[in-house]
This record gives sequence, structure tokens and C-alpha cells, in this order.
Amino acid sequence: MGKNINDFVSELKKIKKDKLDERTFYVKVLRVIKTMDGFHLTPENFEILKSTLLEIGCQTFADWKKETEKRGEKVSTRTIGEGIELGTIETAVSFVSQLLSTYENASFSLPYMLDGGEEYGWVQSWIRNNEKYYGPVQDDQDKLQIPYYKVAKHALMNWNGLTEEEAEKVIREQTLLEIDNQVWAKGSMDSALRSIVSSLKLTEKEEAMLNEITYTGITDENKEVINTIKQKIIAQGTSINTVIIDTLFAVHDGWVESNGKKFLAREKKHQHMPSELIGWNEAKADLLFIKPIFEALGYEISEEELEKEYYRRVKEFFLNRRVEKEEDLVNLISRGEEFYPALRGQTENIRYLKNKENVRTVVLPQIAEKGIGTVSDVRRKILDEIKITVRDEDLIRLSEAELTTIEEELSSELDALESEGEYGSKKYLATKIRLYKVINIGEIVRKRIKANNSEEE
Amino acid sequence: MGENEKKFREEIQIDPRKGYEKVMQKQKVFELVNNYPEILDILPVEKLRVIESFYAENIKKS
Repeated sequence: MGKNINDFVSELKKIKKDKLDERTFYVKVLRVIKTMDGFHLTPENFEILKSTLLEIGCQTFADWKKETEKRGEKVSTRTIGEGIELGTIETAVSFVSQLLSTYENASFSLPYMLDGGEEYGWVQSWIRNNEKYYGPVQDDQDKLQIPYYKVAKHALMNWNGLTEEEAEKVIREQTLLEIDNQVWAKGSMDSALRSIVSSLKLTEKEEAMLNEITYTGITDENKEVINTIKQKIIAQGTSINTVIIDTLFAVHDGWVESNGKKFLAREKKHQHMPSELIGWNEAKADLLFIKPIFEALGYEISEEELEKEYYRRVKEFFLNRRVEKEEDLVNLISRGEEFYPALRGQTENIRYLKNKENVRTVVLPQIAEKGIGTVSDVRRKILDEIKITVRDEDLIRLSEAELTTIEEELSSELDALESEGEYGSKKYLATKIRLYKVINIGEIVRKRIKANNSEEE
Repeated sequence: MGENEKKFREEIQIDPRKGYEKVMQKQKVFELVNNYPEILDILPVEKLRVIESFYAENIKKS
């Protein structure tokens, strides 16, 4: 991934000089400069970098020296080598000062200061020695409370095999860019943020606050968006679980869009299907990316409640799209991007899916085994739920055969209750009301089918 | 659930002695049962008997 000047600028702008002591400030600035190793500085980029450094409060060595001495403090006259060895502040200032002079000087100095990498680079060695002598910078513990770094810590430990101590060290010592090159979490978190912004119709300012909370933490300035989000959820008449599931689905869609190359290469084709088909275990894995965001906004995540909302979506998917048997799903999936827009532009994958035999013999068995299950199992689960809730809007979307099945099952339950001496009991009456509702809708459906048939004749 | 039950009980004032003479009330009951299906497992037997008679009547008519 090529480095962009804007990445460095945004990292530098997160450093708030007025909230840090001088040493912490320079450690943080040099940590960002460290990530510029291999970056080609053009005259335009130099101007952007210089103005950013000045904006966040960096000074030329001469200005810094004048100000320090004015405060009555002594500026030592060590060599660069000694300054690096001891991690002294004036050496850090002189490094930064190189980038505040002319383009010629900065473009020569930058690669020179970083040459030698983590082990021998001047800037890198200075940071290491400074923290060795003065300890980790004060506010690093707070980084672990920021949603992005919570995700990163989890990923470093669970995916990259680091111990908790090692993961925290990486987070303490590296910038977001460096960390993300190891954990690749930012893409998914950006998808989550876009989804929240769009579903709650947040303004640009509110979006910026939400991004800030996610990547740099809560401040007095950005915390007002937390209330705004709560109010918008209430105003829309939706629930937090609906918003979280929408966000979870958006993260999955984002993954499908960016990982098209994995589709043909692996036997995990179910992962490239809509969230409703991948199964709860697969879907909830992405909670990793969004849980810390919602927790920072003051919500407690209940996986149990989310699972219920997930299965409500699965039910809607199967009922609305009239997926009653395996072949219905084959027909749907083979419509490619028209069926699932996240597949857009993945020509080879769509070609593969348009071949119904591939869907029938490869994709569906993987959905059945590793995803949501077989169509008949899902339909049965839906029927079991509808048999209890008997909501008209659900019943009307069942097939005639399914309505007959429920009708027969409820009738048998009534017979059984009667033979157990339960006639007229609460349970008996409740079952009878359910049966009446099913019979009623069954009649409507049968009349509709009859009318359609006579129209066709 | 507690909240749903409360709402349901507030809205459904079926008097078993009066039966189902009011169509409007009957429609309201259908709507409530549809919105809060879990209530069927909670209501006392007298109210269930009235509700059941509403549905039975409806089936006969159709």
C-alpha cells in the first residue's frame, strides 16, 4: 500500500501539544516521522508537512532554544550521536527542525535520519532510548481504551499470536498506520462507521466526531455526538439491535466487496453470500470490529438479543424472497450481483455463480454445512416460530403446503390436549385461537390461488 | 414482555358477560393478538374463551 502525505498529516493532527508534556509531544511527532521511511518527499508534500508540523506546535531549533533559555532552562550542547544515545529532547527538536527548513534540506535529511531501520535509524534509536531512560509516554495507557486499539489488541493476540504484553507494546510503540498494516482492521471499521452514518443520517460534523471517537478517543468536543446518536435512534423508532445488525451486515458486505479474489481460491464460498446465509457464528465474528464502537457510544452489547434480531432478518429473507426449497435459492444466487450487490464487478465470480450447477453442487452444500443450514431446515425453524406467533403478515407469506402443515400440527396438538383432559384449559384455548388464525389465512391464500388459476385459464 | 402484557391489558377490556356484540372491539382484539401474540400464553381462561369465540365467529362467517 503506497503511503500518502494525508495519512501522515492526519496522524500528526491527532497530537495535541496543549495536552501533553514536551517529551511526550516529541515522542509522538517522531513516531509519525518514523513511519515516513521510504516516502518520497516532493516540494508540494514538503510544504504540506511543514505547515502541519508548525500548526501542531513544532518549532525550529533556533526558536525552541530561544524559548527554552528564556524560561531559564539550559540547552545542552551534545553531539547528535550523544543525543540519540541519551534520547535527549534537543536532539528530537533538531530532527523535527530539519523538516521545517528548506525543501532541499528536508528531502535530504528525512531519508538520512531514518536510514538503518528500527535497529540503526537515528529517529528510531532516539525513540527507543528516550523511552528506555524516561519510561513509556504518559498517556499510552489511554490508547488501549480507544475503539480502534481495542480491536487491534484483540486482533494482534488472536490472529497474529501475540501475548497480551506484546500486543500492548505494539500499540504503545507504533502508529495506527503501522499497526493496521499488521491487523487490517481499519477497512472493516470504516465500513461500520459509514453504515452508522448513513442509517442514522448523521451530518458531516457528526460523522467527523464519530470517526474521532473511534480512532482517537472521546473528548469534550466530540462526545456530544453520543447523545445525538441516541436521539436519532429514538426518533427513527428503531432499536439499537437493529442498528448494530445493520452495521454488522455492512461490515460483511464490505468484506465481500474487497475479497473477491478469495472466492474461487477457497472452499468457503458461503462467506461470499449475504449475511442472512452465512449463519450467526460467521456473522457474529465481525462483532469484533463494531463492539468497541458501540460500547464507546454507551451501549451494552447483548449477543443473545442480537442473535434474535439476526434470525428475524433470516426469516424476512426467506419469506420475502420466497425461498421455499433448495432450487429457489439456486435460482436466486445464480442471478449474481442482481441478487447480492456486494458482488458487483467480480466478473469471474459472477460467471461461476451464473452456472446453476456450481451453485447447486458447491455453494449450497457449503451454505448448508458451514452457513445458515439447508433450506428445508431453515424453513422448518421459521414454521415452528410462526406456529407460535401466528402473525397474519408472516402466515400470508407461507406456501399453501406449509399452511396446511401448520394447520394439521395444531389440530393434532388440540386432539392430544383433549385426550389429556385439557379441553377448555388456557393451553387448549390458546392453541385453538392459533389454529383459527391459520385456518383463516389458509382460506385467503387458497382463494387467491384459485383466482389466479382461473385467470390463467 | 412485561410491557407488552401491560399494554395489552390496558387496551383489551373484554367483559365476558357482554360477549362480542361490538364489531369494533372485536377488530381491536384481532389487532392486539396479532401485535402481541405472546399474550395468548398469559391471559386468564375467561378472556381466552371470549377471544376464541371471536375467532370462531369469524371462521363461521367466512
